[in-house]
Amino acid sequence: MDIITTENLTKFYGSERGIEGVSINVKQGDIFGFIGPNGAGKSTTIRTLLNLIFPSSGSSQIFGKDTVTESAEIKKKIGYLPSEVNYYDNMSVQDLLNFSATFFPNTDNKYRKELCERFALDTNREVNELSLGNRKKVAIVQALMHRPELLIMDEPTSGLDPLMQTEFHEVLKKANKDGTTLFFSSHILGDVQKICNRVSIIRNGVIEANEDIESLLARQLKKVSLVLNDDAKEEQFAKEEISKLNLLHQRVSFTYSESPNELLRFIAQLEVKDLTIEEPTLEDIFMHYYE
Amino acid sequence: MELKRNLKSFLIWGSVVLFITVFILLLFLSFADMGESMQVMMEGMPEGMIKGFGMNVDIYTNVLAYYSTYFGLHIMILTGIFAITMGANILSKEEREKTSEFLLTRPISRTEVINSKLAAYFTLLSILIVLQTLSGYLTIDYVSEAPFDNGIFITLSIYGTLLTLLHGALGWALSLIPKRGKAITGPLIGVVVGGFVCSAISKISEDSEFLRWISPFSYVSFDVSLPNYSLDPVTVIVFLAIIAALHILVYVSYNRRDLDG
Repeated sequence: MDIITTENLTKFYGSERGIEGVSINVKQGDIFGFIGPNGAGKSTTIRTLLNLIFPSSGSSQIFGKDTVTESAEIKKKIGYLPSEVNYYDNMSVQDLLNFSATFFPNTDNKYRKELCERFALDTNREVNELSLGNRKKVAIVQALMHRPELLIMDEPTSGLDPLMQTEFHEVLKKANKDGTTLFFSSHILGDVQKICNRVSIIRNGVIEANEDIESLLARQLKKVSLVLNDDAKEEQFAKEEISKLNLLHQRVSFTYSESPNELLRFIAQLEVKDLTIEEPTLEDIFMHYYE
Repeated sequence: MELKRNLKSFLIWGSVVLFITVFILLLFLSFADMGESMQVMMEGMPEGMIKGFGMNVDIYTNVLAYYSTYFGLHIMILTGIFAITMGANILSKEEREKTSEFLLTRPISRTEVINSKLAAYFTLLSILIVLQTLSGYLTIDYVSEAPFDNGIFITLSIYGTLLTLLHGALGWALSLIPKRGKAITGPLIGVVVGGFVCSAISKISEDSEFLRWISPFSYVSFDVSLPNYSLDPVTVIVFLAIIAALHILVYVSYNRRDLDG
């Protein structure tokens, strides 16, 4: 079942492009990564899905409902974790969670308590006295405690220390197993690689690719490092399938985007002293898209 | 929730308004003692000044005339500023402090957001108006030796309420214009005081008659010395219509508004 679908979703701020023609599709049970550099349109897409802003054209549905006309209905079953957490003055963590819970009758208090303990939150403290990381944790509990069917997160791990990030990933995986579909944006590819099963790559407001993480990683992209007998010459490597070429005397490294067979044939004609072929990281694939 | 959040400013404004109402009326007692001599002094004042400040010649001998002068000036400016700033802030504060993102990602429609804000706003504003009117009435009753005309007092109060509600509605509507991050309290006070000044100037000089049109103060009369001082139904209807229209505008515009990010 489709949880999120967008069709040619477009948002212009005056004449300035936010996003254009964004079409994505998130299925039930997905852990969906929405990746792109800062300013690519990730937040604009998320804010449109939540009807904080209105699309200039195109449409989007969540749970099959229109995100503009049926937004309030949709939000009953959504949790949202913003990138920048801003809360009301003069509220303790507990007050804030109670306030949020008044909007969600299906809040699971046992789960809420468990999450607070897990993230070591002092619920008596004032929200605005908390550090960025701790405020983020409050936001995580707030977004999860009503066991939403869909959790939308904008740069969720920013501000969390590595230990808490691991804890957070565990919580997310568990929530996903219990039936929550996850959608999150990030420019940190490690996050995506660790937990996502599907990704969309966005750049300059336009979707560059919609892929399974498997097929993205399995793409014919290899990181190759060579040590040659003689100094390497640039013209030897002037081929279309070679990118990110780096030459230093006998040492050469590059990214190769043709079949492994082709790669072997190419290397065979060189005088090679040493050779390493690596799987690309998502970072490499990402860079490849952005050349 | 919303009531609690606005309570502090309400208490401050409320006590100031009540204090001024009672204090000024009590002052009348001492003016009244001086009676005649004050009357003579008033007659010696330039006519323009008297008109501009909406004063009556018999201000120091007739308690209602006295009350109406201060009501039309001090109280109206105070309640006007209170209403316009509360109207302007109650919604835009959320955007300024970026809490609207939290609020609007809860399962409630924007219309419901305005409903609850408007309910809080009307509650506080009504309490203020009722208390002011009540304290005014009781104090007048206390200081006045002769019986006074209830009808005139009611007319004054209704005009005052309309003017205050109009200022509040202007605040609501104006709050949707600027982008987040800009505090608009200064300009709002300017709207109220400026409105009063325009109306005052227009009364003094015939050349500045046009100023009359742009000031809401010009459309309600606090001059109780006029022979047939009474409620003008057309004025009431027009005021109510404009107030309603501004509130509808707020609903429509907020439901189409992009939240700043």
